[in-house]
Amino acid sequence: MKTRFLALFLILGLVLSLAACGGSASTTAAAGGQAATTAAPAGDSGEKVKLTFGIWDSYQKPGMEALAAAYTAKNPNVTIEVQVTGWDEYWTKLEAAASGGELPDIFWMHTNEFVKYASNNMLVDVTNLYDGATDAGYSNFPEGLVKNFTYDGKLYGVPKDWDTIGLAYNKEIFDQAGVKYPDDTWTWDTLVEAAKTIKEKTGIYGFAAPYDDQQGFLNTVYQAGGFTVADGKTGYNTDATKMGLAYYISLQKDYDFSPTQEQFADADAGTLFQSGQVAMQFLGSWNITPYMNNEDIKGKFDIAILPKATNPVSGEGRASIYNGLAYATSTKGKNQAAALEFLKFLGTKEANIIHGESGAAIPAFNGTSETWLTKFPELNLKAYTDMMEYGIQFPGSKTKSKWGPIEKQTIMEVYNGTLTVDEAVAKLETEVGAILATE
Amino acid sequence: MTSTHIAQVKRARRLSHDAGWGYLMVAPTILGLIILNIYPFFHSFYMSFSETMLFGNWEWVGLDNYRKMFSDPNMWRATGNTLYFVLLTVPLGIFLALAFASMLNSQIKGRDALRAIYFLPMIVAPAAIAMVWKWLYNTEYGLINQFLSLLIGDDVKINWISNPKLALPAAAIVAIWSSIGYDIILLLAGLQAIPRSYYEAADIDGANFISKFFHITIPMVSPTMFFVLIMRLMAALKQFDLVYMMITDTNPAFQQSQTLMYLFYRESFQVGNKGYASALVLWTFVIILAFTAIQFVGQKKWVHYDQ
Amino acid sequence: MTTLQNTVKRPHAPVPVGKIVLYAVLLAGAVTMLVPFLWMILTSFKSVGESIRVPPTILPARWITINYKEVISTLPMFNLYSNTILLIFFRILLASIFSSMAGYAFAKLRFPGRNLMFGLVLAQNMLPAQIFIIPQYLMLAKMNALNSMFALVFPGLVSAFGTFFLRQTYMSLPDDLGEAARIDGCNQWQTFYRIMLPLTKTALMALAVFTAVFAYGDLMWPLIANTDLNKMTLASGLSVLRGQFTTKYPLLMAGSVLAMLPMIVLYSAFQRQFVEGIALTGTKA
Repeated sequence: MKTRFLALFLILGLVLSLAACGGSASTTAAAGGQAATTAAPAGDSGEKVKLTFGIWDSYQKPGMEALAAAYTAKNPNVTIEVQVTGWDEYWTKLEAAASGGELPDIFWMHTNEFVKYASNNMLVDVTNLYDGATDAGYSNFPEGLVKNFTYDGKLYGVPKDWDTIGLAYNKEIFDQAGVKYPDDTWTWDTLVEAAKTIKEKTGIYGFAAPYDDQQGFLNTVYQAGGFTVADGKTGYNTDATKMGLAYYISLQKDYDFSPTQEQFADADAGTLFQSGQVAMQFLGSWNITPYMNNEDIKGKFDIAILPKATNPVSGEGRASIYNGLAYATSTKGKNQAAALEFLKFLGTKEANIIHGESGAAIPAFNGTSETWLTKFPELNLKAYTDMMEYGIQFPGSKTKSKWGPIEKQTIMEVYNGTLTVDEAVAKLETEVGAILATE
Repeated sequence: MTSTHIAQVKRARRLSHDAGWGYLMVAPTILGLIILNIYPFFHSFYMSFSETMLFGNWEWVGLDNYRKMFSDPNMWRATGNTLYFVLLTVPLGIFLALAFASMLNSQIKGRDALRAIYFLPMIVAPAAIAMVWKWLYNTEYGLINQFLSLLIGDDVKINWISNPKLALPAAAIVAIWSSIGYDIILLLAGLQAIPRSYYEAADIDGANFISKFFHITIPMVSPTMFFVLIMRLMAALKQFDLVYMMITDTNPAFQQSQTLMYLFYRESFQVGNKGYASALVLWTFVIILAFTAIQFVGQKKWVHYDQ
Repeated sequence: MTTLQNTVKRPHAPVPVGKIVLYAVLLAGAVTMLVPFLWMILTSFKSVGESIRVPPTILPARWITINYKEVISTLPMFNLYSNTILLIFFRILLASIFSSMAGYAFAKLRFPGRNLMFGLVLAQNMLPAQIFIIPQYLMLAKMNALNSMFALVFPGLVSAFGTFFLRQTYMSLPDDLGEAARIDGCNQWQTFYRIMLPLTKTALMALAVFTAVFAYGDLMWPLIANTDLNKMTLASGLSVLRGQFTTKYPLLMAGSVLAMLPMIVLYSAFQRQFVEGIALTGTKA
């Protein structure tokens, strides 16, 4: 009967495809991780190894491929395949892969997710990766970044890059309004005055102040001398934190020079800035490549350092939030020895220079950030690297994934008008404090 | 032997005969279900009694997740939002699908082309759907507000996706729009199975369009409609992706729009609270089960099976 | 085709006003359905800046084809096409065979535990697909079957949707047909296969369209089960084009337009089947 034939055919087809796959899987497994971390580089063994390298940003693929090519040039037996997966799917995929012991050989790690993987023993401890090396080691990286990928005293990733937040401004709109471009003399008050003038003279929004932590209120909170979470303690309910938070929220709520939260739901700050609908925004350095790929905004904007707090409760009034990624490898990797060798390479000065020149992001290795500046010499990218001097690591803790959403929901209530700043910080102090106490 | 006795024997024989074939014919499906779905379900069920189960590590916490869930205002709000979403999408969606399916089933010019167009949204990239509807709903430049302004002769500035009262209805419109193609296909299949002779007989009796619709079309297509209803109910109660794409967590209307599965997604994949997320799945499951059970009881009143 | 002509030409009571309203409604509906599709095509010819411009432009200021070139150079389109078509083929095959059998049994046969088992089938649809992904992935990992066509097809072994749909279809078929066949000496399988199955042709076509659309649109599973880009499907392959913070929309849209091609071909093929389906039922009754 026809149906039976079909069924038979189908089963046959499935069995065949299964068998074909089993074969290919065993060849990749053959490279097995028998070698210890201190063994000779995989390149010397003469064994062919193919490593997979998981990333989530298509804009950085060429940069990662340049790194892979440089490594293969030195170690012809090792080929590295860069696999890009969109941000949302990346983490679902990584979680499944981790459960099944099938993680990529090398993959990007983010501070939001790091603790989950490190605490479940998914990442290889790389604390001693550079032992005995003279020209390499973790002292070459910003301390905050190294600390960020440290869990229970052990380091689980090689720092990849860092980013800071700057003030992006549209030169054309500034010219049109006759306002002087932002520079290092700017304060919170100057920003407000400039935004007001632009709105009055041109009708264009002077500043975009959407709800945002990394590219928003965290910067002003630390500029005022406050903090949210640090060393397992909360600092929400302090005068300085309140001042910084109130200032940032006021930019949207108290003046008419910023679009409202309703308007940002229609089009986000970046879209509005790139379309010439707002004159200024706080902008993370990771946006530079996409912005320079957009011919609408390319050539019309530049970057300045963030304005300083006018009357900070404590400190100099300067701060810019920084954060960064790391490269990690899996404890269950089949090619662990080769992966660790590649990881070691990624943390060298040479690799960081390649990374910087590709324009992917600011390389983490101290002193190599200059290479990133050369990618777009027409922009004042130095503003980003200069701010590292007083950069503040993006706040986090083991339980960030739990208190992060609470912070967002509570501050959003201030925007929605259901809480005042004072009520919000009091609430955060208790609720986040309770979560931190469980660490 | 009496005739009833013969019938009983026959029936018993047929029952055992049927049973063998029955088990054989459902075997592949049931086997697959056990492996693919029932086992993972019990896995989730088990997880709901534990604290963050990750990569096989967990800690038994008993009913803690359930206690937390029933005292979580976000969960109750999400439940309310989900039920509201069902109310917004299911009745209207089915009515429109049936109306369009009937229209596409009538003898009109360009029927094939029209059908093809109605099925198109099913294969359009979700990113395109979210993008285009966000533009349509845009307060300042959106076509919908511009059209309304033209109609009223006054400037209309409705915050479709950021007004807490309108965001969920706006998402519901998109949901109906993107699922109507599926429902039309199913209902068309049902409509086409109706023998033309029924309509011809009614024509001879002088029945008009309306009476044919209610006396032939609806009863004859009711098994398919029942199917569509159940599927729509389940899909609406599990709504996640559309709301997720259109209403982010910094939208002022977020609290009034977050559905149960949206909350599940955030707890499971963003907060990493698998145990609590599993409890949410169980809760959603119970709600869907209740809705489905009611429909299966209620169908006896309006669904006509030819038996 | 001749039978179709006959059905179309069959005289109907002419209601001109009604017809006009009918066309107006259908056309309005069609325009709404077409908008995102047109938007997708237009965006695929725009530059990145233009695609996110506020206020938006409708027609591209300058028509550019670079997005298509970039998609073709970034993605192994041939593999993605063939994987997608193979996946659709296997899924349709599985869904129509197993769901037909189970649907028939649930509708027409009586056996202990029938309702319970049918309840299980329904329950599959009551649960969010997300909770199945990781356990199913682990099974495949244990079988050492990741990165294969089998891995892609695997979750399609059972179609709760198809089983339920075909059960409804069989329930609407008269029992007398089966009884008549039984008197002629057919066993249950023969009754099902020779008499009942052919009557569900239209429903099977609808199921095929659905199964194809689901398989085509499934993003998460192919992405997780298969890490190798060459072994992915169109939908999951497109995920590669996305960035973390910003997406090159024109690129994504160009990819999506290219991805639609096999579906349009498939649909055209099915459309004819659909029409024949109508003709069949039309003449039989």
